[in-house]
Amino acid sequence: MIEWSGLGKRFGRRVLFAGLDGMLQPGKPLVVCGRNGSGKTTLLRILAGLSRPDAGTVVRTPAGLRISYASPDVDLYAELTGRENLDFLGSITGTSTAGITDLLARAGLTKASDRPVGQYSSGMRQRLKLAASVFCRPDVLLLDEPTLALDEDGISFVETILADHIATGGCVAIATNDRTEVERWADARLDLG
Amino acid sequence: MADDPQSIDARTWFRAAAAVLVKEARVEGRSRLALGATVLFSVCALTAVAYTIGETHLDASVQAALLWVVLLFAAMSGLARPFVREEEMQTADYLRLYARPSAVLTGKLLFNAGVMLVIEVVTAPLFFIVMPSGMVRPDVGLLTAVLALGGLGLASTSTFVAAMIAQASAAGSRGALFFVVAFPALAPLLMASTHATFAAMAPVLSPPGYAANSMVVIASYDAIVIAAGYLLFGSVWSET
Repeated sequence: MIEWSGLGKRFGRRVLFAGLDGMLQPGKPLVVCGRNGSGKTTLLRILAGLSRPDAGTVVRTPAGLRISYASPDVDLYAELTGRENLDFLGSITGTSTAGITDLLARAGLTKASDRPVGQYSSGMRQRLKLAASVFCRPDVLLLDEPTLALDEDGISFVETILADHIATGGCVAIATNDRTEVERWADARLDLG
Repeated sequence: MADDPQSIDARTWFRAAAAVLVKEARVEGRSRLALGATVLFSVCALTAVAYTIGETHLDASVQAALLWVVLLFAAMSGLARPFVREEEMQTADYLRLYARPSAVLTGKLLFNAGVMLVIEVVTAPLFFIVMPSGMVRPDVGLLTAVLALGGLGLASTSTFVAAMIAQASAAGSRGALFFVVAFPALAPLLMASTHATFAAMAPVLSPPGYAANSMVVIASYDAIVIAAGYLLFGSVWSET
């Protein structure tokens, strides 16, 4: 579980958000929405531990919580193939690499699995990022614009992994402005304005 | 019998560090950015030095300094790549999220040490072929040890400085900033390596104890930089 209170972030004199309280609970997805530049991505980065807030606290329990984060501002290794990227992720997280072939098939990337990611389309990269985000069996899944650049099959892949993760008691936060996603997933909603 | 959790933990760490090293080698093998640039740079610098000097006879002390200047600039041209590339290609956050900082550091440090070894294997023999005049009954064993320890110092300092400047600076200024920050940190190593190389090239000309003292300085420098790197890397690397 992740709980935050009094969270604030500013860039120079510009206050992005201030005084945010909230929590991510198992099985109850949170949708973060707001206009462009309102701080959706920054909030997810803070929850992931990739950015420091300027005010407030974030408590992640229990210790050693596995957090995954997929976002347009985080990329995979373009020189490695899709399979090698997942294999690398498995090695650095200590996750068994046995399920890679199956996961790539679910993401619709079987044919492309041995091609360098640099040759993937933006939709294929997005699918691989999403596959990578669930590969290490995280406790918390943070997805920033998860359906960006995806076709219908890709969107149904997102829905499948989200449904699986929520059903197994995982925590989820999604940053999006897509109304369908907001209505589909929002058990709780945080509007940053 | 179930494995001891600590041994599983150690295995996971070694696997992660090895994975970072293999990943660096694969990415480098397919892009040839760091190794190609550094080796080409050192060969070009060596050629330029050789043409500039011409037939002039240089003392072993001057030659030792020239060798380390070439090695320094070759290192500066390529050893920042492993960290800078992670930021430029937006892959650094994957490592921050999923890998232990010490495993990342170990993988990248070993990769840079390997790159430095290749640079030295290419540069040093070529250097002594092009400029043999300073050699007076050289101590090849000592020379190899100086290059190994001095190269490790260059690789480790460059790795830590690259980690700092990769995320702390704007993309366009990273190269210049890397050199500006790394050079003062490398000065003691360069001085000691130059002295020890002179002692190895011309043992009969160097004062007694000169080589041993210089080697102690180089080994101590390496130990301090590596220890400080592991102590500080977590806070440099983790959050922005």
